[in-house]
Amino acid sequence: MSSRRQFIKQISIAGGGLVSLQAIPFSSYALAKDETTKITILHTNDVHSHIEPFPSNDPKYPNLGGAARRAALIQQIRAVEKNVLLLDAGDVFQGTPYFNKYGGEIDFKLMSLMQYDAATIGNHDFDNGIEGFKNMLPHANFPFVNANYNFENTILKGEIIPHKIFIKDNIKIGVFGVGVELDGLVSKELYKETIYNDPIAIANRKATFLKNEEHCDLVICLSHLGYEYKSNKVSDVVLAKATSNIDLIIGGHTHTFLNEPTEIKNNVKKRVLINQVGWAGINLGRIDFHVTPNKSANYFQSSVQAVEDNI
Amino acid sequence: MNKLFTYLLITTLSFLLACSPSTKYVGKNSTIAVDSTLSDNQQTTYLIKPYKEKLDAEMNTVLVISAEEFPKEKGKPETKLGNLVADLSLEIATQLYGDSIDFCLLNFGGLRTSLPKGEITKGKIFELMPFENELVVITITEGKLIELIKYLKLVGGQPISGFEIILSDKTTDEELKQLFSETGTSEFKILTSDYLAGGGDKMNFFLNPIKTEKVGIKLRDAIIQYCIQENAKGNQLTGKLDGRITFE
Repeated sequence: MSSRRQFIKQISIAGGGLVSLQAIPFSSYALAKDETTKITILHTNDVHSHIEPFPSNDPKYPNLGGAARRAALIQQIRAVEKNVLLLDAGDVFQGTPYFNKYGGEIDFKLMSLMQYDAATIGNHDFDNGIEGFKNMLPHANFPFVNANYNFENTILKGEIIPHKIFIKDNIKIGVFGVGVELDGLVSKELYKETIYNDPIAIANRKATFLKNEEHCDLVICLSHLGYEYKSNKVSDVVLAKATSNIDLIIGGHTHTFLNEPTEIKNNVKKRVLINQVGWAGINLGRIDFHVTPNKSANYFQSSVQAVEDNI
Repeated sequence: MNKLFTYLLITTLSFLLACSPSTKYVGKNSTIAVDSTLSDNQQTTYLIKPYKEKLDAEMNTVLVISAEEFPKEKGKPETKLGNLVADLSLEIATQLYGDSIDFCLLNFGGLRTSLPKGEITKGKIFELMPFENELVVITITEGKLIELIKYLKLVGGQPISGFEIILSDKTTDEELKQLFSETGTSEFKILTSDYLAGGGDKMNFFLNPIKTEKVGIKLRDAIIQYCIQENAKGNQLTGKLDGRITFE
């Protein structure tokens, strides 16, 4: 019963009593008990060098965010959860004087301290050019994943990996990244000979490889494509529909605040989750996957509410 | 085995049958607010400290007082924030350029945060305009100007200064041409940032212009200069919405 007690505790701490346990079907607990491995995915996107919280007089986000608080929150979750994967969907750089003055050094050092497992590259991560990005890499002790930018003819060749596989309690998690079209968004002087390839074709190939050849139980796409557009421009929603074998897309770029993950049916009618948590480190995303050992069935839940006053 | 347990077992089995072997998603909320209920992680604070102290010395300088909030807003043809920055850019750039500029066009996406009511620090202006973009004057043809207007209609507005426009589906290219021919010129000088001049935010009408001239100031520095200038005059920042872009 320990897993249930822990679960209840976690809900009541995190939810501040706002969540009633009635919201959790009994059956889901029954399945979770002893039979599944819980994988906790924590994520950020578009932190944009917001090291400090917004000031109390900010019109939109007074007193929200802050790296030191995020670190405390992550530490709290790590103290309870065994299998945590901490990911970022890009645009770590640019947005406060910390970037103008330090070029991303402090951002990468903080992410290393918080033990990020992987991040992808956003358009603003090119803001000091590919040289500026490369110069900061020694401060990051985690990998950058991207599968649709070809860096072969740039100084970033070999510095960015297409995917990474994590193993947590015998559960295999494949994480790959896709980035937004740079032309028209980033000046060529900054991205130089970086080539943008169609993210849908690449994501399909990569996810299929991770699922069928590497036998990953979970396939996560770190995307900086943006959540959704009025036009038919490629986005996370478009990507989710047009691919198979992705379980979760962690998005960024459009600074979209989703209250809950969006569920989309992929091209083989299987469910894909998309989540994105605004920007500036105002929120931390959390999705818990419960994966069965025989790997024939898994389900997932995103269980934690906003942290309220009584924590 | 009591009745309750049997009932629960059946519920569980039916759940398994219904969901296996696919995935099941339970629960709703998936974001956790990073707010003041969390105490700082000391190691993190310690790491930030030297960087912060060096920065604060420069960035905490108060440039001006704002009489009101200037929120960053989406989906509106004009915003107080957009109008403020476009107006001040045109004012500062005109002083430096030494000749008249027809109008200013910037982009909402480039204004990165809201301005609060009260003290506006230098650091806040860095957050509003973090990029190193420079102001440039682009000279374009009438044809490109028509493209620019169509673009404004398509995207639903951008920060502008120096002209008013009613965007209507009824207006034809011919009518626009007619309108411009009445101005007696076929070349137009537009103030923008070098990022947008390079086709950023899909402003392709700026590509291959007749002429590109640097004003000699970064957009951020223009904002800072304006704030200092207004403060010296004893003014506070005030906002306005004047219907400079309307849709019909």
